[in-house]
Amino acid sequence: MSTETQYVRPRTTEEAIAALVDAGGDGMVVAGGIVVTSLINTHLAKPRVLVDVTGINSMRGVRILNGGELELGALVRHAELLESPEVLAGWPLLNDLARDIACERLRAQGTLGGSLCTVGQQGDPATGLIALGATVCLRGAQASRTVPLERFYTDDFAVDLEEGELLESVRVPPVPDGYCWGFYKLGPRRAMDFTLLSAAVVVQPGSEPDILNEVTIAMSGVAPTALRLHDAEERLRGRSFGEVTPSVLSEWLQDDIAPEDDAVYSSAYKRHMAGVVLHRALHTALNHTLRES
Amino acid sequence: MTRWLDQGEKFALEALDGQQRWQDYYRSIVEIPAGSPTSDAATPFVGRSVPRNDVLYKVRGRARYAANIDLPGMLHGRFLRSIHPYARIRHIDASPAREVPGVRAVLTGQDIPRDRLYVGSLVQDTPVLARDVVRYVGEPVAVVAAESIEAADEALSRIEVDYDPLEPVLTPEHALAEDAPQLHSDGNTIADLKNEVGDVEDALAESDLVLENTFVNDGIDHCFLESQAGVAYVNEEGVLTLHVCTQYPHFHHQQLSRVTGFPMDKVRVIQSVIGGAFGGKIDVTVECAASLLTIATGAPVKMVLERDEVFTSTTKRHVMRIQHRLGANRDGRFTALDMRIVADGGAYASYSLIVAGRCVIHASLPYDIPNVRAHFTTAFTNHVPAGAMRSFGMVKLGFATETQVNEMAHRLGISPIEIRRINAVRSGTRSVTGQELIDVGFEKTLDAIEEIYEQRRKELEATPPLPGRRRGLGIACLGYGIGYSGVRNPSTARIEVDESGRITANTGTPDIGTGSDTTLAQITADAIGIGVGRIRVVSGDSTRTDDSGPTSASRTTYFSGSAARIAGDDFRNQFEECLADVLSIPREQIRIAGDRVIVSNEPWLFEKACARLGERVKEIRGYGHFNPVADLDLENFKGIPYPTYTYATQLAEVDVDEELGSVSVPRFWAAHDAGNVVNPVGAEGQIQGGVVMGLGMALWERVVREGGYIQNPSYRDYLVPGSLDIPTEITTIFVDNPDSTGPYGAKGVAEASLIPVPAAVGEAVYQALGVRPRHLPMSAERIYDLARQTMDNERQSG
Repeated sequence: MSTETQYVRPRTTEEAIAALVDAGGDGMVVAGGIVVTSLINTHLAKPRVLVDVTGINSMRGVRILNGGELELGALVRHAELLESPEVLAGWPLLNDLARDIACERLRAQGTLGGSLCTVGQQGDPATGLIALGATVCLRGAQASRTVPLERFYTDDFAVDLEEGELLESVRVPPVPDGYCWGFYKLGPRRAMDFTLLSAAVVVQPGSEPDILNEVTIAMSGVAPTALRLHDAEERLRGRSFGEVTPSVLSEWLQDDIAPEDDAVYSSAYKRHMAGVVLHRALHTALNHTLRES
Repeated sequence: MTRWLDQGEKFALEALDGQQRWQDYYRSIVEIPAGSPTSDAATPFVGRSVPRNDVLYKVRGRARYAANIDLPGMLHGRFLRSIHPYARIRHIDASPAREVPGVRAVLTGQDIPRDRLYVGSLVQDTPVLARDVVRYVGEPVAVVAAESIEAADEALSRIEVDYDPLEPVLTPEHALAEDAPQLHSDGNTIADLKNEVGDVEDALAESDLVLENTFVNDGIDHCFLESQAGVAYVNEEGVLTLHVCTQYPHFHHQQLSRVTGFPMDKVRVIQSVIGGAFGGKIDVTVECAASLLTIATGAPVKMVLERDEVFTSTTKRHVMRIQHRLGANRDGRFTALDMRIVADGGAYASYSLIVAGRCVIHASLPYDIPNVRAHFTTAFTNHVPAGAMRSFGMVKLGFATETQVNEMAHRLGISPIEIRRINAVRSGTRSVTGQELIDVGFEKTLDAIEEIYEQRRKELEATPPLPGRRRGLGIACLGYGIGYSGVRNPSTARIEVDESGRITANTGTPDIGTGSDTTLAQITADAIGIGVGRIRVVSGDSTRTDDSGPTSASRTTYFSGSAARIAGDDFRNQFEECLADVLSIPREQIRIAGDRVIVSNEPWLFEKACARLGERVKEIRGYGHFNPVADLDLENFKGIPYPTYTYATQLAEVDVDEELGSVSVPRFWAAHDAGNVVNPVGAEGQIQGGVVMGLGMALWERVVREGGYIQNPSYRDYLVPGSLDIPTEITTIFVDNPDSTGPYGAKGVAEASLIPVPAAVGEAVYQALGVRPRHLPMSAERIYDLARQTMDNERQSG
């Protein structure tokens, strides 16, 4: 017989963690509920305890820390990334990508922490945050720790979260002056689609606007989790963008990506598209520079 | 039982004064404007854009969809479905399910006598619940009624089915091979239809150019918003009553009587408000199971399919392989056409035979080709049954033939419009079945599009595309027979009036979301000479209306519209006679016109005349029956398959992303010969909806199957176009071409809107990229692969 799910709404992270510990492996955190309710409704998840963290005030808000870092509470909604003057001023990449997340209703409801911990492996926020070198702050019953986001994802649907641990916030280092950014995402349709592939880049342009001095690249859709592409970063260092075509980029990416066939596209097509998507993200980044200069 | 239920009322109407407000409002927007001539304006409503008579109920949330019907003590029914594409059922143990608290009944195939077990639209080959063998993943095996959906689901999980899996047959080619397992006792062939006119081989041998190509498509789902749903109960008079979203209540009436053993007069099927159908709500889904459960439990039972059940267990569009040869001479005249079609019919017959028949009959339309051969074979496989879906297979035929015609035009250096004009059917042309075609408006649609095509070509040449983009324009056409293929399919209408002047028109074919109730009200209004706001259409109630066939095959306006017109004339005559009798004045001094009753030159309000008639209004019953000649057998293919045909030419503009292969369609034009259009705004909506549906099929939609399992049974992975994916402009043109046999010159329009779309897009892609897609959908990946192969080939040969 089906068992009832118990619902708790703690007021502090400590209470939330205690509830998760109590639940053993059978607790599930819910915030905006976009993914969790759909998992439950489609019988893919059947938590014994549902821990609603939306009442925890310390997990809200957008702050600039003393060292100039941006701290985003796990409960920050996608819509807040769009509206926040701090984000727009210092980390416009996040603003850029938030604009295209799902639709207005989901942006108003979905939270950053929820996205990173559930669909995060393929989500747009994870892609952008990895490119920005973000770390996640995790709090457990005994201790807290921080993990670079690019190492937070361990495997398909698995994150580096221990039992009873809660993702409390995300910290994003400041982007140095003169750096530019680009984000490009590709889906089979134009709106409200699951992203097929996305790329986020942060670029330090060289003396000529066409030269890529330093590049950070994150992509999703090309592997079981969103990932940082160090090899391609190396190869791009110091090059002129004009020399790099989508097919050259595809070639450079081949060893580091492992896209899978899905009901819409084959892995072979995704391997090709990876180069196109990265090329378009870089193109956007350099256009930003030109626009500013 | 609640009163509205027995009345079959589809909308949650408020108290009478609330209804009156709505009636007044509706009247104020549809009625004859004050000051306009009220005399003998022949057709004041037909031809005018009239707002749909259901729309206010729908936008106010008062439409009663079956899933929203709740009755006291109602139970919920759920199916247990096969998890194997093909398996013998050794044993089913349902007893653990019966133990679950709240469960009131569990039925398996064993609980239904064998002679009542099988149902089907054309052939009764489909068990209500599989008994000895399952033939596809998703086939119903057992059904449970419980006090809650959760209890029903829990019970399903406790039913133990012992399967002996068998090697499935997954392609029609395999099914037709000699050593294939036989899925049904009569073999694996559902349909094998052939027709040849002239001598195709000789004519092809003598042609200046012959194009030979193969066209394939993937399975398509109807994607109606409302999944199949029904509520069954037995009322106080012992009548088994079923409210269900269906295109054909009278069919279910008959099936239910047979399956349940209830006599025909103790069964009633009422169509609930329907959220889309497109051919997917003709066959049996929840009807029999819900009825058997209500009989077994004595309580009302509701069944609503989940979306993944809709994807995996209800009919799909046929997957076809079409080998196509088209011959022509240098002057552009087509010499011969040869089509060999093999289709996957899935596990049961459904409407496969009609799909095959329609395709063979239409092989050459809308062209006049002297030598034509079509051979269509549909085989059983272990896939979900393929059945009726908008156009009955014609959209794939259209994709093949129109792509060939476009290629022929390029190869011969003739414009795509001109090659069609050279070969077009005209009034007086004899079709492949020997029928003399009349009122053919095909060339008018070509003329309408030609002007736009030439102008748009110049505009595109004058403005360069964005970097990395290529643009193109593509034309495709169609001719489509209205109504059933080759059999009589009569429609009837009955019209009554009450003392307050409210007219009820009962027609058999239900409104399945097309707005046909409004169209029929317009025709009825004009036939009587009365305002359309007075008319309430009751359709799709198997007891209150006569069997007029299903709402399918684009037939409602033409068939039920004709019946409504005849009934309206009859009603007017009876009304005038009756009033003359009551007033004791000569018959000639009474005339209904312009929403008034003219009594000896004095215009009376209609209400006044009805009040004057008093009780005698009940004597007035207008009746209309329309049954045009249609006669053709599927052996020799000679005769009259359809009373009339609709024609169209469509034009697509595409913008292709070269690096991605993705195609967008910023603009689309559709010129149609639909005869006289009864409700222009409604017809335009039909065309726009059909074009969008055609674009879905052209570019995105695809049922992905593997080993007999559907891999994408949700809208997450089954891609239908969203509002940003469709053209910003779909321009609809109706050419002036009244039909001499239709009601007020009307033909029909629904399915025609979709058929040319994929071929038009395919041609536009060719103009943009130089590659010719022959596989639907033309997904970004397929276009990308095609373009790359072509480049590789050129590199190798160069």
